[in-house]
Amino acid sequence: MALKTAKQYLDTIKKMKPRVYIGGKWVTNLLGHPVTKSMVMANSAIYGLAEDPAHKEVMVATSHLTGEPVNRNLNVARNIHDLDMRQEMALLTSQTVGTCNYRCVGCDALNSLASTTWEMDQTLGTKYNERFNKWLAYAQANDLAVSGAITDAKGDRKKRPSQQDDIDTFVHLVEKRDDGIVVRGIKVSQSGAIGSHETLVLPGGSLKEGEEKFALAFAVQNSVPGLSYICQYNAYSAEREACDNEDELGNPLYGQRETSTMYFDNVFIPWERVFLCGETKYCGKMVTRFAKAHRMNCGGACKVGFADLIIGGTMMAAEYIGVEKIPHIQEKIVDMIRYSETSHACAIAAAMRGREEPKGSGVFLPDDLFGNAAKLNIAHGFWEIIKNAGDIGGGLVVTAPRLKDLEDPEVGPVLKKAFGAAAPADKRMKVAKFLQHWTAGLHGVGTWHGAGAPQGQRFMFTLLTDFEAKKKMAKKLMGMKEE
Amino acid sequence: MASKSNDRGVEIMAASIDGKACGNYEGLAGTFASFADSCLRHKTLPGFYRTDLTVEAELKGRRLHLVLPGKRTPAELMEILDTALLNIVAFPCTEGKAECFIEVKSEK
Ligand SMILES: Cc1cc2nc3c(=O)[nH]c(=O)nc-3n(C[C@H](O)[C@H](O)[C@H](O)COP(=O)(O)OP(=O)(O)OC[C@H]3O[C@@H](n4cnc5c(N)ncnc54)[C@H](O)[C@@H]3O)c2cc1C
Repeated sequence: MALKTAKQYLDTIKKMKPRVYIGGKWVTNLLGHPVTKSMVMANSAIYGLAEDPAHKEVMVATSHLTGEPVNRNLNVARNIHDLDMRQEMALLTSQTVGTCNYRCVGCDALNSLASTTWEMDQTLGTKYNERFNKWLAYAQANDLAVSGAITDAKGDRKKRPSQQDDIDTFVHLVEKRDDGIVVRGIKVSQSGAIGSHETLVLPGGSLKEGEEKFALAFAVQNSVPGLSYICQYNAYSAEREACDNEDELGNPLYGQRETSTMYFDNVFIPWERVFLCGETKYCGKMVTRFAKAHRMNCGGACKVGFADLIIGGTMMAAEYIGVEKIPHIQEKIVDMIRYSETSHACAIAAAMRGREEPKGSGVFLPDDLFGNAAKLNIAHGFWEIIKNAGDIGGGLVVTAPRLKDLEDPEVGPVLKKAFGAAAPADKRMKVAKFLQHWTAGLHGVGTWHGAGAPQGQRFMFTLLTDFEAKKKMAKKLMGMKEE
Repeated sequence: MASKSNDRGVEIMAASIDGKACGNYEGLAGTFASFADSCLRHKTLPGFYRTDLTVEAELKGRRLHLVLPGKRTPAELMEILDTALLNIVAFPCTEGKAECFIEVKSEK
């Protein structure tokens, strides 16, 4: 079976028992808690997209290992078309669930692993790529949901991993055994790891000689003993837990972007799942290649999908109060489109200018500069987009009573009077709640930091830009002589 | 040293309950080692970490003997084992020859 249906995914998740803590409770059934359930339902919707013939081109690829159809979330990009469809998948999934495609980080991690393990085997004579391909073929054959863990807890950012007071702030090696390794440490902000079958763990950044014990890449099954997940908890989690009808919420079925802190307490990883162990020189490459893919997809195209939803909701809000034709409103909507489509264009450009990396590996990665441009542009643009949504949505976006208060015999008629405008009160309030979810919650900071804090992209701009060439062009046009 | 694996890089585990064969499971090579580590070091089954399910385990080569607490019927033991194997991403299979063996018994 190479493609799982949404139902088949849910059937496996019903039996999965990862050790998950959320808001003061240990969860024994991911579908039994409203917040963890929203994460699982989003993942199942992503599986569902691959079943829909209308989305086959985007969601289904051909495995380079077996020639079988596979979910694109488990595909290694082998050409420009694959890269283009990958970024289109990020767009489509965001438009569909209004939250993470929780298989997205895993997809970009496996592309980085395909490229880097190949290079390591060529240069070092290791067998990592062979191992990785076997893992990948197994994941593809069983259409596993795979998340990606890169971000270490990091502790004091001024210090190197081994200088930290508590080195558990970085995932590290505890023991090498005949049959595998034992690891411990903490990865933070892990999107959808709780509802995945496996997680690909990569180093959090470049490492130097002497830091071998932090140089690790591996795949871990999500319910192995020693591994625990502490979920994020915030006002939106509390609201979802407290509500008696999900329809009251801003994103009823799929909720916010749900992440957790993953704690590895001496977890055993068999060698067959280890794809880098001690080779510090390749950690930087592994992370950079991951970031290249992830900035085009999560950083760029995914947020364009969110922007589409926000723009749609904002237009409705404008129509419901009769201001949709007013020039400053139209101008603001146009600005929202400008920010979002510029990022989409950068993501497409990153795909189109992608290339095989390294040469001979058969793995295609997006163009770095355009990928970083996609992410940095939307990181800034997203604040503008939600600012305009808040502007056009009006104060109601944050001042609205509950939707079900409309049914109260005493206050309902008052609310209908208060909020009925060019559309009835229930429509206005529903849209206000939708915009609240985007503008007054977690999405601003989520977009800013997801796929890396923007300072990272700024740094890449300085690294990837040929300033001398630009100066030379300017000098030539000015007629200034080269010194 | 990595465990034995075939060309596809998978390994097949034969499960038995109270001496009676009850099906094979396929996992990525190394899955049996993960399963055994869970039982030997953590004294529990995958998916049952820090629950009250403490197992007694003994490993002889590629054969793992398990005793589960409480007096459970074979059907109950099978359900627990099936869940534990799924939690380590191994799935029931009908083809291939088993190289590893998981033998489960209930506490007497
Ligand atoms: C919604 C969401 C989902 C996510 N999903 C995943 C996921 O699935 N997998 C995953 O691995 N990660 C995930 N992340 C993590 C994400 O990649 C990080 O948030 C991001 O890389 C920033 O790291 P941080 O949060 O530790 O920020 P911090 O490191 O705490 O950064 C805070 C500030 O300090 C600055 N700073 C930090 N260190 C330095 C330094 N050394 N020098 C100069 N300035 C510095 C930063 O630029 C920033 O301004 C997710 C994040 C979010 C918000």
